[in-house]
Amino acid sequence: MVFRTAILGVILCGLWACSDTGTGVTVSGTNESEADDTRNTDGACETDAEFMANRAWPRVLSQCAACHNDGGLAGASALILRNSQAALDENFNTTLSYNNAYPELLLDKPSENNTDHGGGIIYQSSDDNYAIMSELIARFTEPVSSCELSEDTPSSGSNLDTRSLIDKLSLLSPAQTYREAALLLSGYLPTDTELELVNDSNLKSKIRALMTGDNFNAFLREAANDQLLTMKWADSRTSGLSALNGEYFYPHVSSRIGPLEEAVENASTDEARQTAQQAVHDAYTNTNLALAQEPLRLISHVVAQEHPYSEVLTANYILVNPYTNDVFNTGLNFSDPLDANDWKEAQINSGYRNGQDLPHAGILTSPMYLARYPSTDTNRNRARSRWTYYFFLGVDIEGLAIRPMNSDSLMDVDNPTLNNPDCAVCHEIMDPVAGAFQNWGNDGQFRDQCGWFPDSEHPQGGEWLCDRDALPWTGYKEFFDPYVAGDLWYRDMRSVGFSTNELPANQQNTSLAWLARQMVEDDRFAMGTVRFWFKGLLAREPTSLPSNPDDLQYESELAAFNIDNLFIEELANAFKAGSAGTASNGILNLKDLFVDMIASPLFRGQATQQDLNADEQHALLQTGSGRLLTPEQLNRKLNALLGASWSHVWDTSRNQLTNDFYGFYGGIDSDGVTDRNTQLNTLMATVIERFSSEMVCRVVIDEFEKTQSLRLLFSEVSINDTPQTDSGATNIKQALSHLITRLWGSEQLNQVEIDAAYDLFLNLRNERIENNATTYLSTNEAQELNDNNDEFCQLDWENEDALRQDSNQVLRPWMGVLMYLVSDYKVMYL
Amino acid sequence: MKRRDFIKTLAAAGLLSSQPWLAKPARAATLTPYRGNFYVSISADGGWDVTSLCDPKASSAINHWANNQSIQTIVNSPIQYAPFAHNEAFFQNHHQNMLVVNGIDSQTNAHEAGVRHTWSGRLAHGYPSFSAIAAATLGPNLPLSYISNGGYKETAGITQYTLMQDPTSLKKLVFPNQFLDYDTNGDWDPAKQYHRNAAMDLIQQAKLDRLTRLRAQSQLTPKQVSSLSDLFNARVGADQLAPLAETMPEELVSNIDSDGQWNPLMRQAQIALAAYEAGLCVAADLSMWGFDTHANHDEEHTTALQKLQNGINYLWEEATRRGIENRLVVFISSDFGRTPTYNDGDGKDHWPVSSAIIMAKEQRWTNKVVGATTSQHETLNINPTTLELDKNGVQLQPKHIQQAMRELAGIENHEISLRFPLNAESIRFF
Repeated sequence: MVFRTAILGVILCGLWACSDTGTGVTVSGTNESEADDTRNTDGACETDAEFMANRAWPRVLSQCAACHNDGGLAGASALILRNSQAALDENFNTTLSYNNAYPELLLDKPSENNTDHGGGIIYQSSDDNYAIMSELIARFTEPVSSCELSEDTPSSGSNLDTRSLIDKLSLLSPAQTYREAALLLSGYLPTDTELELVNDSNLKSKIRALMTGDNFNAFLREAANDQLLTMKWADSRTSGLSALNGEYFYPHVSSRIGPLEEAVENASTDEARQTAQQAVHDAYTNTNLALAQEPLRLISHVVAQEHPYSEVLTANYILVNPYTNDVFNTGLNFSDPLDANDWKEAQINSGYRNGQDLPHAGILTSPMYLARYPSTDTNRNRARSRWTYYFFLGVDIEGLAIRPMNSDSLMDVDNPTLNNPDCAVCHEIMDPVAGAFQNWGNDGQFRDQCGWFPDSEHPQGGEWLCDRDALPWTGYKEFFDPYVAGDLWYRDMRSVGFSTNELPANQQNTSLAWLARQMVEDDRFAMGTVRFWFKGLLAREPTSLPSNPDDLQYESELAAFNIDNLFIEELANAFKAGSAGTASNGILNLKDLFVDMIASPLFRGQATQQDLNADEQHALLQTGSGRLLTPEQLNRKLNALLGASWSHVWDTSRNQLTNDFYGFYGGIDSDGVTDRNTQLNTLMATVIERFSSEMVCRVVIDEFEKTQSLRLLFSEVSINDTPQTDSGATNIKQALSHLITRLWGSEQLNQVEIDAAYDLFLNLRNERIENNATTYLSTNEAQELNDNNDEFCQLDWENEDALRQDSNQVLRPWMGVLMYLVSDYKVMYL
Repeated sequence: MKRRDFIKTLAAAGLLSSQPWLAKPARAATLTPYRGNFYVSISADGGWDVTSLCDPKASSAINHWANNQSIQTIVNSPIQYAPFAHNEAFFQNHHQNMLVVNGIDSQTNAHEAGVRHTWSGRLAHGYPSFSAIAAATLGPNLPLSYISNGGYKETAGITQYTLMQDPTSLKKLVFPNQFLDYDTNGDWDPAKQYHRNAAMDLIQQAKLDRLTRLRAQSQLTPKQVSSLSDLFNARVGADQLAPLAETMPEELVSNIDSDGQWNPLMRQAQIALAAYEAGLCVAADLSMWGFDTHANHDEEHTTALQKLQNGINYLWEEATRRGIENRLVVFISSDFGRTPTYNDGDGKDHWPVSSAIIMAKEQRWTNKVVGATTSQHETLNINPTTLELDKNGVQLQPKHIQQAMRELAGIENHEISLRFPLNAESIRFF
């Protein structure tokens, strides 16, 4: 007999009670006689709720949901699940309904038993997962809502419940969160007074207020480029100008550079030639940079204007600065033709071949976006479709190709993308969107192809005309089969469209603008936006759904996926509804999305409430603080903390962190290197060693040359303060407190850290005194290579008042202490 | 008083241990340079056409060169090649050092999946590359154990990769305390380092103590634990980079190859070999772009293959110049193959059947071909023991090549390798 008890249910409800959305699986019609079928692999009784949470969902149905979700690859099938652990009850009922409507298919489809499955073979009859699905089906007819209480077999349910895991983290305080957000988003260090005023109720508005200015715009562009990678075109080896393919398509492309090059030719003196060559170089550099930045600037423009983020796709304009304005001949006027930071909305209406008005659709029609994701005559814009889905809807079509495909299908040459069901599963959603790029050629030019067009006397072509379409003549149009003159898209592919909608006939010329409107109306646009900015805000991609339940850490990886997925859903829903952030700026406001992302445990998790077991540790491995800053972010942070950047000793305009050592420190070139290294390695650690060694000398001297009250770092101490007097020691300790607070954050300020820093100061000074070290701040006293007592510093020998010597032997110790502080974990990581 | 005299004085007074600035900062144990085999993986990014390389098909429908040329053979070698690109020189010069594996079914036509499958042995996400496993097992404490130049570099948390594409400033990182921005031929004799050694010892000790305090905090999040561990390991490794200064070339090889093409492979190879010779590196991934030739295939693929072959030639030449050619193992492959037919744009599209070339200096397993394909470039099964064609045998897949590489490196039973089971039949390649 089954002794039904509420105790286990209480445990489970306790777990789910932590969830905003999960209420547990509720199953009616319990059959009390089937308790013998309700035991898990350890022999313990499992309710349907437990079975769903512990086995059916994590091992099988979560895999199904990767494609079988609304808008997913199998979004048109009869089985549509919610891709979320928070929807266990809903998914249980959905699966039950599907099983009622299509008996046997839950087993036969995924095992391709006498039927095709678009996703290939998921499991076979001998697999554990087949047995799990069999048991799930059995439970549909013989449900179990609670178990007999047994002393030796209570099932505790999963300890990897999403909400329970999140609740194990404590969060950064509002002040800490604000400080970290300020340094990340705007390279700004809030004052102590500002931090004292931050609390839970005003945190979101405070964070939102950080999102202005040059540093924030730079952050936006970097984060966007980490995805779009259009900065590839800023490099002279892969220049944006070359990607435009010259004057044939953009007749004004040389309107600025051409005359400058003539000036070089006509220069009458070497000096004039050098000046003219520099002007040519500057024009090339600035034009390529502007071209590369254009789609990124569009994003920052939409954000700065507080417009709905959907405008990045629907914008009926392109952004230009004076350099690209010349290239595209938009007709705008700029007061300063050399001001590369002056960006305006424009339309290309006379700057393209034959003076055509280009139909703008935000990023989708950006020349550099189209060039960065080029096509070929056989790829037919599919790559553009794949990346457009990925960037803006969060759908990774290619990333879902994780199971072996049928070899016959892979070798099928009979138009398999249209005819072969194995191929169609992806191409059904990919190819219609590829078609929406129909007006844009392989390299990104508008209707760049030519062909013979029929006249009354020549039905197979009487006149060679160009600029009518982007379909290749050779290999397609030349056969007039299936091509028909006047077509804009391939007849042997799926029709142009999106989801279930076909492109209306009257919008053939503006198909990408139509696509953009369709996409931003799609439910996935909000989720796609969260996914797009995940890397920028959190320094990582969202966790992928693990695909192999046999992997050792499958359960914890699934838990990590569920954590991210839960937040992505919540963030997207608020973003879409206009309730994100401060909830007062309308729908799809990106700043408000950023506010919510920063206020979430994904950003703020900073400590664990309790000891975690190995699975829990693995599940939380990517959550919370502890992310390595990028070189650009670190550069802004150093500027905020020290008031200086790491410049080259002989060229203060050359930033070493973002130039010479950029690649070493995890930077990307947007071409061959497209992923930032987020895990510190040895060479990256030596970059930290070098900048901390190099920078501190000038920083300390510059500080002590200022009036004490005007200093950023050493306002509590004078050059005459030494540990030999009580007041000196006190002032030194106060200065150390200030430095620790400023560089590491106030939560790091404690007596242990003050003492450690003070001891270092003392030891450094004592060592100098005991060893009769020079009082000059730069010395090569032994005049030999690698002298152990060498101390380089670039001193100002022309200014009599400049600091060059320190008879108190405190400046060099301060340099050592600053090196210790600035190379710390709390500076490199957020 | 000189430092050494001061120390003598203190020692005589029994004060030596009480002076903190004289304590030797904690450092990693002396590094044992790695002298085992050097594993170099070279990716032909985009999907290569092996029917114009090492699995030649003399059909004009498959290859235009078959219109007037035939498959090329080598005296005393089973290796055949297509009359294409620099194949003649490449195979004639290297066939003694080559194992060609044909008929590998990558089971996909999608780039990302193909890359993942080829370089990790599994279509699904999450498995580390062979290079990562080799680095983690054979040189877990080396600071540059795994060098990457892009491509598939999944480490699955078992090691870290280092990107070393621009070595211009490398010396400044090997010696971060040295001032190196001066004219060595000039008449000014500047200070050669930023901080005196005694000060640096004190600072490093303080940093180590601070990091120890941070790591000892209770209730750190797993992410913080991981980040602090990264920082600790990276700092320890920094002390061990000095040998790199001895092996890093004064002058970098040109980025322009003998055909006048921009070719990054040579410089990637030069830097990787320098790191290996310094005893700091176990495995390196090199990559060459340009193989995804959907249009104008013959011309563009010729260029891509020539650049690949020029790069591989340079790798062997430089290894020989450094005297380490006998410890070099090279694994070359690609996302997948290309269709055994031309498309309307004279290009070739994606095809799941591919090949791999494994190179080492005159081994008993080199100068050999394993696996085969039909005249239409479809896979044929082989017997895993005899390696003969066997319709009941095994269809070669990337997992078999990954397993073979693990066996070649002697790490197939290492605990780390076993964490990522390939479930591949053992093929007697070697």
